[in-house]
Amino acid sequence: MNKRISVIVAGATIGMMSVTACTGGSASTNKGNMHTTFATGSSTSVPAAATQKAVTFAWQPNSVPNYIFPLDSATYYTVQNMEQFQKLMYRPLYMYGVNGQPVVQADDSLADAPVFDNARHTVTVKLKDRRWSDGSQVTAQDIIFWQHLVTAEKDQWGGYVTGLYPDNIKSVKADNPHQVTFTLDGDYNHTWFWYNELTYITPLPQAWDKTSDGGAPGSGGCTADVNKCKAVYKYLSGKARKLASYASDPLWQIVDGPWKLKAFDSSGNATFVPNTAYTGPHKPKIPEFKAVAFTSTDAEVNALRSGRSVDVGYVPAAQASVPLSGYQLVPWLWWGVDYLQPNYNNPKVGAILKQLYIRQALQHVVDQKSVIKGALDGYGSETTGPVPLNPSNPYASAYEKSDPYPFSVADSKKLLAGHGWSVKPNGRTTCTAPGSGPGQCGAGIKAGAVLELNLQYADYGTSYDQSMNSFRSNAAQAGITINVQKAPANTVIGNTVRCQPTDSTCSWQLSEYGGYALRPYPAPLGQELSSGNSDGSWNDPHGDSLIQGAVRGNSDDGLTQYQNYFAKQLPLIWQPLPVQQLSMINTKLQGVVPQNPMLTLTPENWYWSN
Amino acid sequence: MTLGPSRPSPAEPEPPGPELAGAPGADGAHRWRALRVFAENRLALVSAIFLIAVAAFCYLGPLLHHTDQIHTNLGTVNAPPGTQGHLLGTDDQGYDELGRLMIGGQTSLEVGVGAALLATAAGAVIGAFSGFFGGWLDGIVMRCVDGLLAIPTVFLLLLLAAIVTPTKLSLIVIIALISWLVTARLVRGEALTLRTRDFVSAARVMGSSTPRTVLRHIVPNSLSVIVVNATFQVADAILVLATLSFLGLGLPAPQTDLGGMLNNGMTYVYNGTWWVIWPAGVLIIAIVVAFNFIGDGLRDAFEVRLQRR
Repeated sequence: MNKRISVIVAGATIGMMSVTACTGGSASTNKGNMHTTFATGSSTSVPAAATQKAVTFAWQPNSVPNYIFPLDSATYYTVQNMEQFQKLMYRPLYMYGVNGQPVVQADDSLADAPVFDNARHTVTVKLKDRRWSDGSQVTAQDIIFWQHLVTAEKDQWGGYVTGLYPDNIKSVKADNPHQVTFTLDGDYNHTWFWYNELTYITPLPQAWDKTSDGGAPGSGGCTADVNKCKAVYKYLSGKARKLASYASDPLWQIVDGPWKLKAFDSSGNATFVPNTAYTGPHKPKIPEFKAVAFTSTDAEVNALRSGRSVDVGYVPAAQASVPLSGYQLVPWLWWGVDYLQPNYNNPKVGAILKQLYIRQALQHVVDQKSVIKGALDGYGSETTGPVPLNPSNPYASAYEKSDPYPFSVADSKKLLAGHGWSVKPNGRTTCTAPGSGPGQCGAGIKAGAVLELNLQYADYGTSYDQSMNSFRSNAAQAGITINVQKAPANTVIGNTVRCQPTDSTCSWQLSEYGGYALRPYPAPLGQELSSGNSDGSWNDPHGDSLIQGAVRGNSDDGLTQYQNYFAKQLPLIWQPLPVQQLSMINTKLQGVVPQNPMLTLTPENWYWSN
Repeated sequence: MTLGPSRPSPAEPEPPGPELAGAPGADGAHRWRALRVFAENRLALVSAIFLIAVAAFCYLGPLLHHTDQIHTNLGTVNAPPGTQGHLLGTDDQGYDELGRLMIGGQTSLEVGVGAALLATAAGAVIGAFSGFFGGWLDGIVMRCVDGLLAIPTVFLLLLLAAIVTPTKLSLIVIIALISWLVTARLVRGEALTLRTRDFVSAARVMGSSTPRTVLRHIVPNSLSVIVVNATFQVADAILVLATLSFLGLGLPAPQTDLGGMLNNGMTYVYNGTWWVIWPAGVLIIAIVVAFNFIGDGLRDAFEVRLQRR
């Protein structure tokens, strides 16, 4: 369900190539492969508390939090809920994203780096000395409570993919109050397991292990017996649906993060105050953090320009060049990729889309450089495969960086003409050589078939209009007719479903719903590339084996082979990636930059300069 | 609302019924007087000339000013007027703004006129039959009209536009679907009056069937109401199309209309790129106002008392 995350990500605006200089250090562990990084935060000199005041942050329009329980079902599995709301109060075992890099962060994590034992397929996690706001210690039992809950209700959990977490955990055991050991069902890439699976785990307080408001901590029995977890989940998820009581319910006031919720309304307006019992580093410096909702980007921009108190807001790319006094513009890069999702089971064009040369021809007419320059005003980065090229990282391979299918209408036309199509630029290109032999159109494509595709894209603003129309225009010059149709994001997401050719839901052909937010270790690209889960019904046993290689092989080679293969095969048509937003940050507010590429909010690091 | 037959009030003007049709030269004199009264309304006359000029600009302009309105050019987005032969600059897709105005104007005029004609035809026929029959049928039809009028127009538009893929034809039908209601009410009122007239009674006595009576006697004698209303319908339809496009439910690229152009331009309202906002906005206003003035002029022209001055 990570697609749902991504949709909210590629919101209003447009990106930039890199984030500003790092201020913190980083240390490599000796447990995993060479990319395993455990970064530390920065130390800062903060003015006296008396000079600090509340900070107001603007949510993206129609993207507000609506779920407080940090075990989110698919409906609530959004960036706003997980990265920008729950994590302020309930800390996961490992926090990620530091200094603009998609790596696990040491300081704010609840545990030390995990220790892997390849021979026994175990992972041992040692907790730091952290406490809940009710005074109790964060213990191994809190991890087991989470583990039992997610195991019992995995089908309800938005992050669940068959065969992965928690299916691949055979058992979990508390070695002592501060240490747990997970036994896995086989070998896994250490970095992948740490970054992409252990980061899901959010220790839950024993005070939540109950089935009624009056129940004693632990009375639910879920920590001791996984069979008792359904009733506890029902109780907690039911409480989480009562938005009006978020700030008043004592249940949600037991936190181990740096913030407590002071006020919340169903519009998404939230006010946080510092958790005075917070035992971690980076304690809040500002007395209050307010996150406010706006009905549209225009409304938010008007608030910014009218001088209303928005300290961290955003502007659309079209207004990036318009000066706004008192604010600095900082592009917020995010760790993701953008693409068109083809429907390989579409009864009309599925056979066409299954041809590699067709996908190559489509990729050749994506003019990423022009879109980034003209539509994104420079605030975007190219996507050439399943691993992001930006922010700069050690994962992207040389092949991906070489841009395997650069913009070239001529190459696109050549590919089509060489495979039995009568190419008519700006007209109807038809198949004149049906068959599956060399120089022929390919299996399932009949003589006279027209090269015409329907593309539905999410209404994310002008830059997406420009990008999609550029694609349509370039494709037309190569003889490929693309009918573009804009629709509300939720409509596009709802239409982009895995289907069989006979299904009534299989009429969609190409879909652009806003990209995909990756976990810190960039493999695999979730359900979009695996045969069993792809929304577009991509079926590729060899690709599946490479995904397994990237996840299980404890070396860089697996990741490289995986990304090179999919960059070449083009199961998705890669598109330029806009930034998450063009943040407008009050020039006197410090600590906001660099913004977290995993989109996590950490206002505990923010402070006002004198 | 009256369900039974009604009689015209003394104050109502005599309709130009078939009594006049047989008089030699009466038609010509009547038309001439109508034209003279219309021409006396200077605003209406200027508006008519303006609309002819707009139509010429939209349909003949592309023959003189050749531009590529199919392929985007992200290398020259929002270029100011005068840049590289772009007399009115370019928009955010790199399209020549002047050429864009021409094809956008074509769409707005075609959809506006098409929707108005369809809505007027449907409204006139439904209203005429409803008024002529009266009784329970009139009651049912008018309650349906009332019900549909009570639904917010924007809601209906959004619903329809979300279901149907926007094309010129589908937009004409969608807009007509919400526009025929007013025409139906007006014509129904005329029909209630006309059906009691002697010439209608005479036609019925001579064996005229119901459809023939409505279509040959009731509708033609309601023509003044219908024509005047049609001009307002055109103006309204252009505005509705602009609204739909402004809400992002207009025609897909590379097609456009004036409302879609304005919608795109609004993104750059703080950027100083006036040429992507003002021309389309001013043209929408001018066209709508012109159609309204023409409607006023036609109302004067059909007004019998003014013709007899």
